[in-house]
Amino acid sequence: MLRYVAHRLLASIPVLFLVTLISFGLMQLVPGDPAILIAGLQATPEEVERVRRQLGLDQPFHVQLFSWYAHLLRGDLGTSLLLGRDVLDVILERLPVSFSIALYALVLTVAVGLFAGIVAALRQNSLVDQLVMTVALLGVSLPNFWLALMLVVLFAVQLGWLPSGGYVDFREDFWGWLASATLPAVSLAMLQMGLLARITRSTMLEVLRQDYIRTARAKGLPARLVVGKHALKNVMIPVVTVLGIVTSLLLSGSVVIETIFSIPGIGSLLGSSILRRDYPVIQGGLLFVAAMLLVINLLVDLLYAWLDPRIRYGHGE
Amino acid sequence: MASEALSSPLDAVAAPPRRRFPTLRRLLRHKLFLVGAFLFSIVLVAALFADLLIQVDPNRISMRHKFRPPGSEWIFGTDNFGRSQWSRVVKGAQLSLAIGFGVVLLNALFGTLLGALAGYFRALDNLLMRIMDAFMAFPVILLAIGITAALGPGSINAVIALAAVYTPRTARIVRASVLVVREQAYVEAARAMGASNLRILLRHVLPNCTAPLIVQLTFIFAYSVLSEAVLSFLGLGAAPPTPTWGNIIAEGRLYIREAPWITLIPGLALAMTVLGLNLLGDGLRDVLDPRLKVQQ
Amino acid sequence: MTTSPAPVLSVQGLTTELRTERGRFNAVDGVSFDLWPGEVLGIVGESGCGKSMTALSILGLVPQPPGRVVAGRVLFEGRDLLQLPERELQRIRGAKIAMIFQEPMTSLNPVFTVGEQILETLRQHERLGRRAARDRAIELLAKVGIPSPAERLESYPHELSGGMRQRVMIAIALACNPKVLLADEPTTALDVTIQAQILDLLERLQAELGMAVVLITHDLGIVAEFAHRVLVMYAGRVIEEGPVEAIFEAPAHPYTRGLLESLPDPESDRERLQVIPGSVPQLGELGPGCRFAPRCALAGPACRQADPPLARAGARAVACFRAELATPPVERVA
Ligand SMILES: Nc1ncnc2c1ncn2[C@@H]1O[C@H](COP(=O)(O)OP(=O)(O)OP(=O)(O)O)[C@@H](O)[C@H]1O
Ligand SMILES: [Mg+2]
Repeated sequence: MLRYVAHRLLASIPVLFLVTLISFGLMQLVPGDPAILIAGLQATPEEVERVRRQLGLDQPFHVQLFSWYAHLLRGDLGTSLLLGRDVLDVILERLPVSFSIALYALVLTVAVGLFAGIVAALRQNSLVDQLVMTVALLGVSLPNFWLALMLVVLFAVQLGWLPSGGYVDFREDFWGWLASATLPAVSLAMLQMGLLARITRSTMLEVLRQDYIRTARAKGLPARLVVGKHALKNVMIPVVTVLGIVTSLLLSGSVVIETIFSIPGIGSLLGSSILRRDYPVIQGGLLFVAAMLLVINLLVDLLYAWLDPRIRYGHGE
Repeated sequence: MASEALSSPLDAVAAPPRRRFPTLRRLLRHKLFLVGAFLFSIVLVAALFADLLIQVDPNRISMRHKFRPPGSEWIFGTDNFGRSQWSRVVKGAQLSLAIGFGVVLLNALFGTLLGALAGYFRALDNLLMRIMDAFMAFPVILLAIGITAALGPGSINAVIALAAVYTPRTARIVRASVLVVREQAYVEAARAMGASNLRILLRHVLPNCTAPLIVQLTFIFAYSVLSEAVLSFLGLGAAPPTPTWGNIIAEGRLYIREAPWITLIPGLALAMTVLGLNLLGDGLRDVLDPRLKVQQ
Repeated sequence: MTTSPAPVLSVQGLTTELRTERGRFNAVDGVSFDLWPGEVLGIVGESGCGKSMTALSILGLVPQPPGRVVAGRVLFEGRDLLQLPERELQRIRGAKIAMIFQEPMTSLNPVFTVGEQILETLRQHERLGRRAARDRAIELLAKVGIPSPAERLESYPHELSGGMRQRVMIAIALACNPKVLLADEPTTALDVTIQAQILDLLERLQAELGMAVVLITHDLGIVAEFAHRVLVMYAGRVIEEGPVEAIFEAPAHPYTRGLLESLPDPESDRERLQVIPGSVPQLGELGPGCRFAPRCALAGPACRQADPPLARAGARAVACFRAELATPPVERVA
């Protein structure tokens, strides 16, 4: 197990390095003179010059790269052009907000997706199965930002049950947070719920056909244990491996969803930085999210290894 | 021994008569595939014959007619500038599919190239795959946002960004197939007979990757259409008067209380396209490559 | 063999239907037999003749879909297992009637330890304290010949060889001292040397515990060596039944005879020859006549018109119109 952890940690170092390189490279993609673009067309030559110096764009390429890493190592992701503040500070300040919504969506995804997938598999080809699979298919096909708008029309505008936007801090008012976070979390979770339900169902069907399930039944175990213990633990192994993808999709979705619901998280920060060309925020935000995902994927792999003894004892890859 | 008796009932069961186009036949018996084909072909027809289907210029402003609900006069209603929603949504279909198609094309080209290189040339494999991993470490939309934000908004840039984001995923699949195929006896044989690497790749290895590739590209088509809508919703697609579905939804959002149809209809069109493509992908996977599981 | 007044298990007219894409057919078709206390009953037949389905049907384990038991009775301790509610059946499975399977490599759950898989059976059926259960599990592993059993409790199946896994399966099956053991080809997937070890183990344990065993196999050699009585199955039916010595001495059914002739000669190293041409008919593509007729050298017109019933004479039974013609004595007897 320790060897496996060490191996995974080592393997993620080059990837992390490349991730930082890609984030740096994004700035190089900006066509023409980025200083002019950033400062705006109405800017005076002095202002453009100031921006250029502030971003180090007057330096040769290798110096820029070197200073990018020098700053990174000190945990410095740059300064927001618009807010004039440290990018990492801004991100960390907004992290709990995004985190609370994403966690809510993740819990919904796993609870509903897993449950629906298992029920569908146990009642294969029944009406329930067909219903679950249809909803799951819609979940992976409906655009989440559009779904969010429709949910707002229905639950906020027509029925008035939930707020149409805004965010209440969970540390101040939990129920207020729950009300404000429900529509965002549901629209954010739809895609992953559908995905997880589909994967869980097909995995469950596969597992239920295995010989060891027949053995469990032949031992006289009740269905509760055959399914809830013997099948479930085997289903969890492949399901856990998609948790990384699920989280990645959640973070992808948070840009539009946070923007639509005016939630002051990292997603909406990125959303608003795009149009204002606040490149350091975009660059730093992307890097931060990718690094976070690498850590999450590492945790997922460890969970996977813990669930599957064949890997835990070093027989797997 | 009773040989005549042996060959009659048993053999008939063992070897069903061979038919032509077995794959096509199985696809045509796959109900959900047919539903997908139906949904997608509606959008495809709208896109191909957009100019015939549209009577009113999608950008013609007519303030007298603004906020007309869907009805006999305006099939899909009008928006805040009195523009025909029908014209805009149909034109949007054209743009969406063109963009999706562009992404799929670039993606097939580069994905196959990178995947084949990585799978076939051991020396390149590690480096290429680490780079792919790094690209895949970013959430899809976020990286696409980053790239389009850097390149500047616009349809072409959206295509480039989406192709860049999805290519590593395709490359992985091609690589995996190549790794399997290259060990196979007939490839060994070709190599032994002195065939060049390029020739082996083109003649033997790649044709065997087509099944997973087709399935993958169908799903990529679906994600691209969806992601492009997100990009243009965020203002990173074609500039506003251009009627992309994302643009229409973004504008309609402001009038969602008084004119919900502006948002509803392009969203339904988008959902229909993506649903159709997903069903096509599921069907193709079931028939062409049953071992593949549900993927991202 | 002890002659006891009542059989432990009595199977009567068991019929299991399978519905597949290409139609429905009876994988088990009116199978009847009695299993007497302390007896080892061999069931033989080629691959696909319904041996496993018979065993699974008895315990209500037929995969559904595609299978379903449609007729028959399985009498055990005065009750018909086929009529019992699932809860009641669960009390019998693994406790009074246990089963071991053909595929040792896949029959154990890969994500639980060997110990857990034995202990959960004990927990399910018996009231034992933690310590007592653990001791019993160790004792069981020792009994099936697993070295350092206490340490093995913590092992996962992938750490064991096929033979060891089958021993674990046997330990699980014996955990609650069952009255009946259904052993479905327990050695087919194993090396020849391991095969012999496992069979010897089963024989020893059977004698020790006095349970009745249904030993399913397609290897007549195994039947000759370990079984008291034998049931020959063909395409879902019992076509011959009787004491092992009698049947090996004088097989009545042409199919049984063919099987015996395909046994390897102990003198030579040659592999078993396939003497019976053709293979077991699949699915419901069967005419009105005897199911073996298409492959039978002796089949006459009568054989193609009606299906011969299983006719009894003393301890023996055979389903063949031409039974008398098929009985030149076979010299080689195990
Ligand atoms: N899950 C299933 N689906 C469809 N047909 C099945 C299934 N299981 C068994 N069958 C069919 O039922 C028949 C009897 O199968 P069974 O497994 O009982 O044979 P067997 O005598 O145990 O053979 P073997 O020696 O190979 O284990 C065969 O024709 C087989 O093809
Ligand atoms: Mg069998």
